[in-house]
Amino acid sequence: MEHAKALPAVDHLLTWSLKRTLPPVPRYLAATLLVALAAAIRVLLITNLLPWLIFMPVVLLIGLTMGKRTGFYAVVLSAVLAAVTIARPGASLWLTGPQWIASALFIIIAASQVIVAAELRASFVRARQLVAEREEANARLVEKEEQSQLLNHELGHRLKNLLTIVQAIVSQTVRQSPDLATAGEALAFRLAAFGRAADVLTASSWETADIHALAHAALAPHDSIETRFHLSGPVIYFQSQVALALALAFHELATNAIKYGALSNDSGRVDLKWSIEPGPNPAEPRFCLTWQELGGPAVQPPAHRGFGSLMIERSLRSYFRGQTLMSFEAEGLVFRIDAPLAGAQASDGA
Amino acid sequence: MTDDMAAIERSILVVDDEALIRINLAVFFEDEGFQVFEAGDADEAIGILDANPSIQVVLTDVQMPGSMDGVKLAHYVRNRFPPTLLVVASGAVKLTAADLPAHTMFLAKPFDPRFVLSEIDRLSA
Repeated sequence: MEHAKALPAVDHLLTWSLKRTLPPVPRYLAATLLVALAAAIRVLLITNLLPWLIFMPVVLLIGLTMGKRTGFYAVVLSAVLAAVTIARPGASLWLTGPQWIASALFIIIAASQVIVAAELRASFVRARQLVAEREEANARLVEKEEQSQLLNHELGHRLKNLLTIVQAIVSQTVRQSPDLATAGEALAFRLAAFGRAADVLTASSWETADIHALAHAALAPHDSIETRFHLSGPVIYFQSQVALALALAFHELATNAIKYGALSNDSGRVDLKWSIEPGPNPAEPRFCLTWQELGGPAVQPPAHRGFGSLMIERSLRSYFRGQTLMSFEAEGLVFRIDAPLAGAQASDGA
Repeated sequence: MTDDMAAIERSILVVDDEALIRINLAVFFEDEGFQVFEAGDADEAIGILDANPSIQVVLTDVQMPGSMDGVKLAHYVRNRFPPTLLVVASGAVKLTAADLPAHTMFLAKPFDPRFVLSEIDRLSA
């Protein structure tokens, strides 16, 4: 936008008057004084020929700096004072005919002048508002830009962290697999489960995830989720790190249940229960989770513990700062978590 | 085996709050014959170092919860246990020699643990 050049004096005068907006009484008093001063100058220095002339700049000044109403008041006051200074007490109508006409003309011209001056003042106010709004918008834009840069940086950090976790999952999968084909298959399923858990976290800007949503995301590919999994427990929101590890654990447990456990036949099922229990210290409630397989084939503890149980137990123990237990009981595998709730719950508890 | 004696003496402390990452590194160095210690934050790491001053290598993440981040931990270890080999890794910040204590290796995450191993071999040779 191009700026028209302003007269610096008028600009300064308007800015000055806008900074010092007077309440009505002092404003009218100031206008009265200015007009009275003009009247005094007129009596002392100027002939009777054109007594209204000296009031013109004063009225203009008042219109510019004090607005329309005060301007009209100044016009009327000026007309009266001008008339008083030229009046002859003896005359029948106080002023002569031409003087009356001149007074009326003065009021019309001076009032027009006030209207133009007051409009100029109002335009100036609007222009200042627009400038202020534009500056505010620019400031907001700069702030948004800074926020988006921060967010970008944070996303980069998160991406690197996720890549490093994926690297760990890949290394451990390869390490525990007898051959590449097995590794490839296991990895595909693990990363898919990881991806679904990431969806749950993305829905909360990567802050927290509810355990129900995590369990459903991890178990989603199993058609039997409605019939053979029984999930029960309160809504608990976990931090993102804990949420990912928990989703991976659910995935591993389900995969093992399908391969060797209760879901490897047509009738077995999985009870997944969790609760918040009062701990030894009432101020520190505990998170207790049980994955219990029932109705499966006879349980045989595996000779070799693979990625699943290693990563599940070690990582969950660390993320939850609590105990984990995997036991191969006669009626089915049982996996338990017993940990302080505070260590894993999202801090805002949302 | 002739290198058993050397292998037994090698020890590393892995410090990372992300357990999946830390366990993977721990397993890698265990497979390579290291005695591995793990810590989830700097305070835990300092406790382990105080109890096991013979630890030769400290491999730490930078962003961690707790009173110290990985950079502060590295400076602390350099002052308190000067001969320790220090490796600092981060996915968020690029650190230069000026940020780190002397003789400290910086790695951008994700990194190849085999590279860390070869550097440890080279520097401790």
